[in-house]
Amino acid sequence: MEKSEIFEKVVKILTPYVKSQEALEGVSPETHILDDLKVNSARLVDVVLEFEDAFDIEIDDDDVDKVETVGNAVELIEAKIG
Amino acid sequence: MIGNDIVDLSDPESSRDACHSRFDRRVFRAEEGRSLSTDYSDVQIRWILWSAKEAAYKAARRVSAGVVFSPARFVVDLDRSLCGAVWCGTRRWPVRVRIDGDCVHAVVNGDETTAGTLSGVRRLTAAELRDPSEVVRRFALASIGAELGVAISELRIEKVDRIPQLVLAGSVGHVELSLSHHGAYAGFACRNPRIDAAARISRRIAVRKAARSHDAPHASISYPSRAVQGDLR
Repeated sequence: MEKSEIFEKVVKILTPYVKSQEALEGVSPETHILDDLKVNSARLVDVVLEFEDAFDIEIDDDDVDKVETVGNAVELIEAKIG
Repeated sequence: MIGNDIVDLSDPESSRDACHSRFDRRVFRAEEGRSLSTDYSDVQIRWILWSAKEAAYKAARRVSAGVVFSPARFVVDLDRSLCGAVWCGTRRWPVRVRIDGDCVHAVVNGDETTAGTLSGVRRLTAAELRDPSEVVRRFALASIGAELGVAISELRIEKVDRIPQLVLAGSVGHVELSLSHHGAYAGFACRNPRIDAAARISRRIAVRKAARSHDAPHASISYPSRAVQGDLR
């Protein structure tokens, strides 16, 4: 799967949980999921579970802890799906 | 070490079916919540436990910025009065959760035996919902200023590694502060600022005296064991 395709799917999964529509409109790999998109920490659990479902992967909490930006999430998923 | 977390139970994202079907399995252990009153609904128990975990994580981050937020590793053990502890490995974080109507507020003070806690909860107005981050900062500053008897202009909030701290003008060091907002509620918790401020003022006086007299600086201050609850609704 191309990185751009992963990025698009990641943004689509994040979208219902985003509190800052302005940040979503300008979303990029550098966009911070908590600080910019204002996704709260409980919702981040849901996001991770949806990543697991959408990409058929398992993501443990140690991996999640390293994800700060949308780009971090894309890279993590890319590494998991090989 | 201080941490707090607030959950608005009336917010749509707190509803029973708002979470992923595997959320509870991922976040909670089977033994958590068993000791809580059966009067609480499943949804209330979910967010009581979550808020305690989140508050403990915020406190733990003050000890180590590298601590991983793995909710299942923060194990909540509350009694029926919603007091107890969150365990992370062998580390125990004393916690108290208050549930009042739609609002769940958890406060952790890892240093509970030597210092009190000042905490507060406020419901936001419709206008304030536009910028809850700013509102919670102003609310905390107003509450702490009132407690200390100082103007808000004497206080400021700084963030270091995304961790907020309160700075008193002209003072060295900071007071631990935790901020939280969710839905229509904002909350904060801090080490009792009177204790910290008194200690700092005492130190400043001691340093000034020492500078004049060439004596070694000292500060004599007792740390009463008391908890202050400033529910400002």
